[in-house]
Amino acid sequence: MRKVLIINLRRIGDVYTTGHLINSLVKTQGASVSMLVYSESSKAATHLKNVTNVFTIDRKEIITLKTNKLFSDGFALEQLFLKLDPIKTDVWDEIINYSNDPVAAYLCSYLKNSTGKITGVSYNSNKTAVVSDDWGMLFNDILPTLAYAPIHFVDCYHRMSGIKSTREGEKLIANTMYNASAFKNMGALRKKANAPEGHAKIIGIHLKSSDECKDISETTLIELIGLLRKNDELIPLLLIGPFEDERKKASRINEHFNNELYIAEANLQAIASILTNIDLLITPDTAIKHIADLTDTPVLEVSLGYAPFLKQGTYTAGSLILTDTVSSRDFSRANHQGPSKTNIKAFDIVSSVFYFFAKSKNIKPRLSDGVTLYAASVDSLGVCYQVVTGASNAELEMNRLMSRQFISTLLDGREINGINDTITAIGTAAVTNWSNKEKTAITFVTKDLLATLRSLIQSTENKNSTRDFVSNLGRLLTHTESDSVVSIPVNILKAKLERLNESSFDESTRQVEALLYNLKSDIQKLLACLKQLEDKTTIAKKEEFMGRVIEAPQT
Amino acid sequence: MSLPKILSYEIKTARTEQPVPVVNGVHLHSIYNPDKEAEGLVAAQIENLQNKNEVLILGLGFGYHLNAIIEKLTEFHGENFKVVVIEPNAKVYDDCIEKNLLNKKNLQIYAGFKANELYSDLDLVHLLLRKPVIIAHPASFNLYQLYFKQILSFEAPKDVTSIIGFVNSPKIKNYLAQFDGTTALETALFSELPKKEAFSETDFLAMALVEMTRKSIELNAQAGE
Repeated sequence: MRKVLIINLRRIGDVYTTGHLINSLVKTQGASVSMLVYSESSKAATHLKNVTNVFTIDRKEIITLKTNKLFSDGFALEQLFLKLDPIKTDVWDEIINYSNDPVAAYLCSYLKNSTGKITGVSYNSNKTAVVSDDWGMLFNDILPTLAYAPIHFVDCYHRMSGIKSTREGEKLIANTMYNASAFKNMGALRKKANAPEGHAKIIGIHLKSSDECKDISETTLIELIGLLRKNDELIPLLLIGPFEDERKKASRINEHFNNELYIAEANLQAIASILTNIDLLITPDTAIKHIADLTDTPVLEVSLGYAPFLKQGTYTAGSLILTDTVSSRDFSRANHQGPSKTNIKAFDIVSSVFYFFAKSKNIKPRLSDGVTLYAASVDSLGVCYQVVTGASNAELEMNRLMSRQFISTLLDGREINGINDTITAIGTAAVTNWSNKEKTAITFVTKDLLATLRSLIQSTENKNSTRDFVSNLGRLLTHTESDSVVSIPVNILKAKLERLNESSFDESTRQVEALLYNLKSDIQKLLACLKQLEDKTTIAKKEEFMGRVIEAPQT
Repeated sequence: MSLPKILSYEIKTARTEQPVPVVNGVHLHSIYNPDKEAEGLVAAQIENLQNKNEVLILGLGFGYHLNAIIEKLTEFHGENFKVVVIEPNAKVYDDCIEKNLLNKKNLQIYAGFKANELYSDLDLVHLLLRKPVIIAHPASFNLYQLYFKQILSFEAPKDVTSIIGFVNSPKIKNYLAQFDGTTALETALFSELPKKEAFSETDFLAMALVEMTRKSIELNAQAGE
């Protein structure tokens, strides 16, 4: 049995997201999976199914040992050493750096001799960050440069680990007592509703996230609940954790409804049982959202503040995400303090709820200005978010979807079925404009690439030309800052250049030359993607034209 | 950092027939009723003892207060508690043990230890990290004021040589020995280590520690500015 250790030193919600990968590892490889997490997130790790061992590092204790004057600094190092000793002295087939932070990368490097393979980022003895494969490079070097991630982190981790995503299977440890109680209570709630049998829908509303800037405002929540209560078939259920501030918030909201609301207070294990017995969860970006994804509970995520929904949004196909127009959002945590300003109103959330329950998806909800509704669907690369309705930036969406297509073509060796239809549906004229802009950007990159190649070849014959090469390479690398899809292959070149092993001038020259030809090949693949999109657009234009001819009144 | 000087020591008998140590002329327990005095001490700590099951007691004497505390902890927590006592006077401790005066349930006593010796003990360090209830035995605390102040205001040495004396693991001792012994470990890890051209296996572990604690250390430095 393969022994796999996943290192995830992030917060509870992020640790929960590991459940998808663990499920796939167990289902496809029959692996025995253990986890290394910080003590403060261990509740999530112990809640995940199929985790053989949960190793913990008490970060707070180590920080106290290091910073408190009473204790010797040596204890902090010794304590870390002792905590890792059971892992270090064991033998692993694979260690996965899931948290992608410096501490985890150093720990992977420390544990290198205990494992056959490291997936994700680690350091070599020269202190250079190394990635396990091109997917690792995409995750570590390319995705951070893209303002709007074209691939979900969970899918990227599956690719980095070289395993197929398996959605079937229980991902959390079931608590039969909580399950029975939730089933009974939710059943009773449905019976109380003034709706025909089988029509009552329970809408869980999670009130608080870990950060005020991601919370739905209390005013919006009150309006939302009021609107939901107008429909006899919808039963709002307030979900809170066992914390005083959440109790107070629920109580304040309840007062507006003569204390008639249903409130469920539950710890993380119990909330999983409740989620499996409701019809939809409305939540900002919270650990509860990730638990809902693990229990296949549909989610309407209200994405506010810095919540990175394109990277780590709800993972369940069919779930919805309401957001302010993505181009207007700032995903940097440092730039958010206090409640977020948003255009999302209670009416937008309720309209999205109705859309979720509607059998026909042809009628799209009307949303406030500056608000977009996305739906999560699954394609060959994993979860993909597509605009359902609302204001959106066409260029940004085309760029994001074509980046997805390009990544799939480049790293998966296959195109994503249907993605060109989705892009074309944005508008044929817009696609043509955007495609032309892309081709112009590609032309500039190609020009700089050829100049770099030429000067590189000259520099092997005449060392005085090295300066030209450096200058041309510098110019070529400025395209990493571009907003175009072509920035992706240029960023790949940059990442690979940074990892070149220092050797002789001739050897370096050969390696750089090979990388430049790789870039040329990658650009050709991108051009092929664009060509296919253009072909699809041409067909769509013809269909539009024919449609107009047919619809034109007979004279 | 030394142990208190004991100029005189005798054992008197209380009205209740219980032995009472008298150090440097100071009675460490009531000469009338040591048990009643101990009950008073515990009464003032009821809430703390209810909320926490680990207690650090400064001053042993002949342990009447200690027995009362253990009785209360058993009432609140059953077998699940721990009591640690720090007593500078080894003679008082020896007599207390010889006279079999203590309820030794879940009890650990550090007698005659200097501050640096106490802070070298990993069990005690871990207890302190868990933030136990700290109860001072008033007579002992006043008598050995300087000793206990030294313990409470102790600052662990920062240089690598001293730190090697604190750690127990041979691997960590060997690792630390590679640094200049006069350098502060913080400087060695945070300034010198990142400048190394190539990393050993344990360097990576040390760098993980550096990254894990960097933010807190920067915040501490800012607060100190």
